[in-house]
Amino acid sequence: MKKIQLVDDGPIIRKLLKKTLEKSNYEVMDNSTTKEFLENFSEFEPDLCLIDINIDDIGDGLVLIKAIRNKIGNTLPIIVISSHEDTRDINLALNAGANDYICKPVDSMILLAKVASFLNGVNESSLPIFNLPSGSDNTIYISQDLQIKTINEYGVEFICPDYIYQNTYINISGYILKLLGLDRDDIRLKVISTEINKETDQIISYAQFQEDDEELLNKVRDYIVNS
Amino acid sequence: MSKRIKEVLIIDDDPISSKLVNRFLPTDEFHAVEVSCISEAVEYLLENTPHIIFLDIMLPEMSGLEFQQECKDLIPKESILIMLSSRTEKKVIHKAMQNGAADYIIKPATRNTVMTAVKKHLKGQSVFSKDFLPNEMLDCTMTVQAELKALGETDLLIHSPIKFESEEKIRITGKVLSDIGFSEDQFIVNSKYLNKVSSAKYTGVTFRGASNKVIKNIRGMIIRWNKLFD
Repeated sequence: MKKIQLVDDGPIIRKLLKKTLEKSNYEVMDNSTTKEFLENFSEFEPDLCLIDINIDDIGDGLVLIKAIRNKIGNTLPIIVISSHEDTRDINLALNAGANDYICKPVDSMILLAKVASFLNGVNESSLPIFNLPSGSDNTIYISQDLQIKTINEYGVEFICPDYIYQNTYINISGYILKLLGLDRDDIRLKVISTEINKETDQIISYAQFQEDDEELLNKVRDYIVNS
Repeated sequence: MSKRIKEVLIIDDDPISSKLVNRFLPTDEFHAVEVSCISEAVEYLLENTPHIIFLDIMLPEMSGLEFQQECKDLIPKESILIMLSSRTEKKVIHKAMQNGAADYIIKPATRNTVMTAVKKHLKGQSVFSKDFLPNEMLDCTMTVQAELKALGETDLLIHSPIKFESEEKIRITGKVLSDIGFSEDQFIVNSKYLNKVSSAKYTGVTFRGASNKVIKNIRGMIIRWNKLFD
């Protein structure tokens, strides 16, 4: 049976959480203070922690998260429970080392789905997903950091964290625009090839500039010839 | 002139030979300048960096081989130097290659020999390029367009041209997501749907730290969609 240790200073919510989790066959240790949590932590050896971030006896929940991370590293999943809905608060907790964040009042279905995904592997969490109706605006944008290693007249070669499929259009922004002296937000390229360097394990893509982007092509050539 | 056109310098005192090489180069890809002696070539190279230089060996003021040696710094490193000569002695060819020629074409040049040499050395690559050392590589950000395919109370399914690693943190934006109330740094890749969808371009994404407002908005959307299907 997987073990969950939770800390919350509200007696009613503590009881509710404990009951919900026990019903789903988890062994639960509930504590009302950070001190109590820490006293029991080593002996109980939880598989997952649920931490109310607003407890304030020896410091707040953030301090507790950091303490756990310092003590046993990143392997133990920590889910924060909070009455704060603000994006800033959520990011503060995630950056301190929490794996997820649930707002109060806690929805038991979501809580159990999230707990299951951490304890039994992501494939086990089973809240359904629904297809977007056709015709709805489903455009999203994904951003990634990359490092340009070579620039030539027609394009750039860069190291990227993931494999990009051939013929994908990408927009690049950042230092390259300043370097080339271009006054715009980004430049558009088409990925021609992506290869994995077996020695360094790096993913290297080559992408070409748009042929009709005369301003860019001129600036690139000026830069290369003069550098 | 489009920058895709490659500049070519032909150094040959025989105008017929020059013209011939020039005619072999397709005008939509190459722009050739013909000069008949080394001094004209020097003048041109002081101002220009051609992609390709065709160099004859027997020239009036100075031979092509001497030019290679004495004007080494004038011949741009980026330029591809192709010798063009009726001299067939191995010694001469060897010397020219040793001096930095990329190829050697024996006269009379044919369309085939010229274009084979040109294509071999250009290989679709640019001649002008700059490599950055590992510590000077340019840190940039790229953005690709993708599609949100499905949505639930803990996960999304996206269709994207990037193949992500499981557990990877990714940044996603878009009107449909900001309308729901997401911020871009809430998304973690999962492998939930890998076996259930046919294309590797589909990725399951778990969102973390969704506020109750966000979850309420998602529920509202799903209910509206279901009504659409009824």
